[in-house]
Amino acid sequence: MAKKRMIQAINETLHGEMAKDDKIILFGEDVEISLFGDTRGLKDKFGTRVRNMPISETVMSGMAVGAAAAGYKVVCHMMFGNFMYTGFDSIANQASKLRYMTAGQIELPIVYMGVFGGGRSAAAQHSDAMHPMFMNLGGIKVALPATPADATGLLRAAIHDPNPVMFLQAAGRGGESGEVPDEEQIIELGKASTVHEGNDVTMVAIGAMVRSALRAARKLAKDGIGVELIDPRTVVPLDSEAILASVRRTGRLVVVDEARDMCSAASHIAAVCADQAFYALKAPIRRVTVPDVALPYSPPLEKALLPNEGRIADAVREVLGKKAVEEV
Amino acid sequence: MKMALKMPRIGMNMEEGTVVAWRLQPGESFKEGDILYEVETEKVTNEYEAPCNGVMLEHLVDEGDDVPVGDNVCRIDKTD
Amino acid sequence: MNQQKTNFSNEQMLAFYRDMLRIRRVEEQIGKDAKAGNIPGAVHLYIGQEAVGVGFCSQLSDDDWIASTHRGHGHYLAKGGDSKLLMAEIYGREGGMCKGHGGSMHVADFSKGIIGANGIVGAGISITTGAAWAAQLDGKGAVGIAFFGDGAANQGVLCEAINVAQLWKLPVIFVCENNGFSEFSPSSTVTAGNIVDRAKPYGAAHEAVDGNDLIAVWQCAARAIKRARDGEGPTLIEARTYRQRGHVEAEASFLGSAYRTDEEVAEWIARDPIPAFGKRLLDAEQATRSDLDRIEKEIMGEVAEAVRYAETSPYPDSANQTTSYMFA
Repeated sequence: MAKKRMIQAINETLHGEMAKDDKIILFGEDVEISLFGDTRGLKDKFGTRVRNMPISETVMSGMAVGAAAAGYKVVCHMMFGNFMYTGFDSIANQASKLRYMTAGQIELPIVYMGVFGGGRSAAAQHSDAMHPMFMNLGGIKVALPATPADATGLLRAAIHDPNPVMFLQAAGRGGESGEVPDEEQIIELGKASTVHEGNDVTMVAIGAMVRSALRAARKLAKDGIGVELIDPRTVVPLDSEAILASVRRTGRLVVVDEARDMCSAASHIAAVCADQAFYALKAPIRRVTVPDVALPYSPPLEKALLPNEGRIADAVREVLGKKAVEEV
Repeated sequence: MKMALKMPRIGMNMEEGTVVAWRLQPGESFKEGDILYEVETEKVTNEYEAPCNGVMLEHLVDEGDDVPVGDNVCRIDKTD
Repeated sequence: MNQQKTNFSNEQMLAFYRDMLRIRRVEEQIGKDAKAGNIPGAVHLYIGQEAVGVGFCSQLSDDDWIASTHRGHGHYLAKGGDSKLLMAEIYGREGGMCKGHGGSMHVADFSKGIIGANGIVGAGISITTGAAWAAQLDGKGAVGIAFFGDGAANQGVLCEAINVAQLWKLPVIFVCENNGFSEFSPSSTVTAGNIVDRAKPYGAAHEAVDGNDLIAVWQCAARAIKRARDGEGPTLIEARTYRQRGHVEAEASFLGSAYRTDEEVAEWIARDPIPAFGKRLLDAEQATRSDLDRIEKEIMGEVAEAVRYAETSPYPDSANQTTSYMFA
């Protein structure tokens, strides 16, 4: 084990995988200089397999499809997740459908990378959590690592997956450090991890929300409230079984998601549990999400909208029938 | 004038930085541009330069602490 | 049409004629089937434009890539696609090359370098650019050709693609088949300037050609393909041709009014590339009437066989096959 920062873990994984497999290619805006640090040094090491793109998301997302169809494992760095909207046609109409439309004629090993989420005064056009939109496409896997260890394991799996995968890294968490195993790890896409154990309430938290949820769980543990915190790690495929098994045991569910509430990952998870674990539920399911607004610039405004420890803990107390206490 | 210095946003996506080393101890005086501490973000270690002349009064965080952007890092006495 | 005797052997000239006529007869059958109610979805016919597809594809191997449009049967057949599989696909049958999952707008055969038709106008441009990047990295001299219409030339992705292809010297050819119509709107009402000129600001090679003259198309294609294979970068070609049929079959039944005159259609039918090419063969004594009749008969046999195959092919198994191909 070694302590690594999220960005460092991603960077080392890219270096490692590209060194092992010369079919892996990577391109995107400013990837040579690397705005975030995740693609740093790759150009020097891998030459023409790493290329800066013009600011042309529409052609870029489609080039990834063509290069993958022609036999490469493509890492397409879209920088900010919000820019994926500009390049959405090839993601939504091509990458996610081409295999199905052609009855499995091809594999499309593409990793679309980007950062997502708020908390940095980046304002509305650099702060979306857009994973629910990809969840609804059907043909794209969606990975949202919450720790450096998960980032390496999920990225490695994503690069070698024969399908398109969205690899969305929480924008503000690049500097977060955590223990990363020394041996190379592959985390199967679709396997949740239990981050904190408890018997009273099941909590599912996604991406950047895992840390706030964990802090809330630890605090609640001191008050004698046991939270079982599950990080699905990928929302497509979604490890519904792990979530349902926990809900059937605890009878209570809180879902924490940085997406806007309407059609969020949280609302889908809530629906799955309402459908399939209804008779185990002892209380209504609570979602802790972002209201259906654009994220603002000013720190106090932004802070007020993002889920935090206090709101998460309140939701847990609420499903336990305890009065919510204002905190944080 | 006594005041606190805050953790700056160095990286575009930085939410917090780690103060890895203090270069100046309480009681020592500094000039604008002197390095007060080293801060590590997701990419690199940066040096925090004093924005003014002054005297270090107090470290509000320990070396190794993760400090959210905008939180206070130290207290100084600003001089001219 | 250029009447000078060419350097092509009689066999080669007859092969050109056969390739064009094969597309024509297969599509006439598809048109009849659409009218008869044998085809579940919309079909867009290539009739009148065959010289473009054949002029380019007759110079490609299975290692070269093409991407096509919603009007894609002709490119599929020209690049060596199987007419039986095509017909069955359009009939929505298990025996189609996409087992009925794609239909007319998604005919593809990746084993033959046919990335396929595409329901999104202009989408093939970016995909082919990516495939051309892959070809460049492979270094084996393969090229990518994106066929698109004058309607697609108004998608921003064309500019993005020419820019990056010229910058990276990608082995890609952008072939605009200007058939006079952007769906139901005459080009003149939606397109400013000359499409071929859109390569100029990027410093990319470009050429306009009479898309109804197979020999002219072939020669133009040969220059562009050589440029691409030699590492000299992309070419934008505007092939002026005419869509003899509607945007979509049976459109008269739902369109409120006509968007072109009968005289205009008649004028272009008089310039139909196939009879003109047949006459040229006879005039130059490169073929006899009986050669042409024999080809006609062979093709009609192929068409009948394709229909028989499609009609007798079962529908896909809706109980077991609806979700089979989403992920590899």
